[in-house]
Amino acid sequence: MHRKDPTAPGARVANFGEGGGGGRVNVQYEHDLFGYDVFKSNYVATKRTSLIVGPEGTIPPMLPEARQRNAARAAYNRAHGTDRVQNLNLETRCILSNRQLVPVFPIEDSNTHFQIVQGKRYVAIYQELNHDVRVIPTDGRPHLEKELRQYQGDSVGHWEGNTLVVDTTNFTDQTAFRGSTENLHLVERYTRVSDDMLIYRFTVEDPHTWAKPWTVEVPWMKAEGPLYEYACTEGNESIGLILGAARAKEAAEAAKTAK
Amino acid sequence: MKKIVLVMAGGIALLLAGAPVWAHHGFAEEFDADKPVKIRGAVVKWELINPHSWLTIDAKDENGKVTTWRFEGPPPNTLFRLGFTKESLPPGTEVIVEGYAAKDGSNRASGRNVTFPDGRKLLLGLSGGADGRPDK
Repeated sequence: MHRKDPTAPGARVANFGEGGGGGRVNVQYEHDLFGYDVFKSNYVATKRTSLIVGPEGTIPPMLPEARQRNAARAAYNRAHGTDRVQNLNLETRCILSNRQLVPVFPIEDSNTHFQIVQGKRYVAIYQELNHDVRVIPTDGRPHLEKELRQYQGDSVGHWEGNTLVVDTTNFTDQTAFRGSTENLHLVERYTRVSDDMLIYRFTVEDPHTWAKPWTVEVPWMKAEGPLYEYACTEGNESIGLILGAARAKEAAEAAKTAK
Repeated sequence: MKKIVLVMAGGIALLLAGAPVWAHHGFAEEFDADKPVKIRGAVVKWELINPHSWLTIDAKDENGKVTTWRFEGPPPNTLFRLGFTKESLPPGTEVIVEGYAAKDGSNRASGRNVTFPDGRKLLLGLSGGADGRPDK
């Protein structure tokens, strides 16, 4: 990764973008501007360049009903995304960080460690961001009733040899993994292949979103501890800033039309 | 009980995928790239917290009137990589802080850099274009 001097004239700048999510998330997380390794970890020993596994090597086509559904959501979001705090995203509200979305997708952020603790009847995954624990029972229990929905779904696990297989259902419509619905069915497979690497593999299916299931494989590298405490609400003034900005804009527009 | 500490693999840079349905929080929703501010004042406090640090400055105008400004900065681990230490900004330090004003009209801004009394400058998280302004 070449080192860039961000103070040099003409240096590449962060792309702010207008509106919700048009540009990069936040310029203070532009780690590559400062020339250091985003993940503070070893690079992938396997040097794989594609996440998708399977003969087609691509995500299957999205169904027309899904495109329409997502377009409607995006339109609603543009029109009402700052109407009220409940319309802001779960990460802004410190309810569920993007790092905690399930399935786990590579993502740029700070404090991205997981700590996996195995017990006899549970496996627990402690997520540094946002100091939450994903609890996966391995005692053979069934899923929750379908009326009960959770942001990270409901997970049940079992062992197949050395591989932990986790089956997750009961999502809400708030996380919409890549435009999917609350009916997403996720199967994750965790296999430790060496002292410093675990292969994380997941298959997702949603008959209301994709023509067929698809599978991703990502190696996870062992990291040095310790994990740090992460406080989200403490330094997060985004809700006030976003809603305040929206109200200020509305007031300015109202004043203009009143003239 | 076995304990394994693992982190996501590097080397695959991806834009955020699977973003939640509602509005994604970005710079432009909170701060105005067309309203740069440059405040000279004394440090009141420096909160080294997640997900953003916050630097509070008291600026005094020529009549002695004090205005308090707060600048959003990166999280502590990023600050330390940028060259700050916990001792960098004790209360009372006279600094100049540049940033971009909040859109809600409050005296808050997204911090861009800090200039110390000895003239040393450290980034808070933004780089400037040729004329010192961010690209649109």
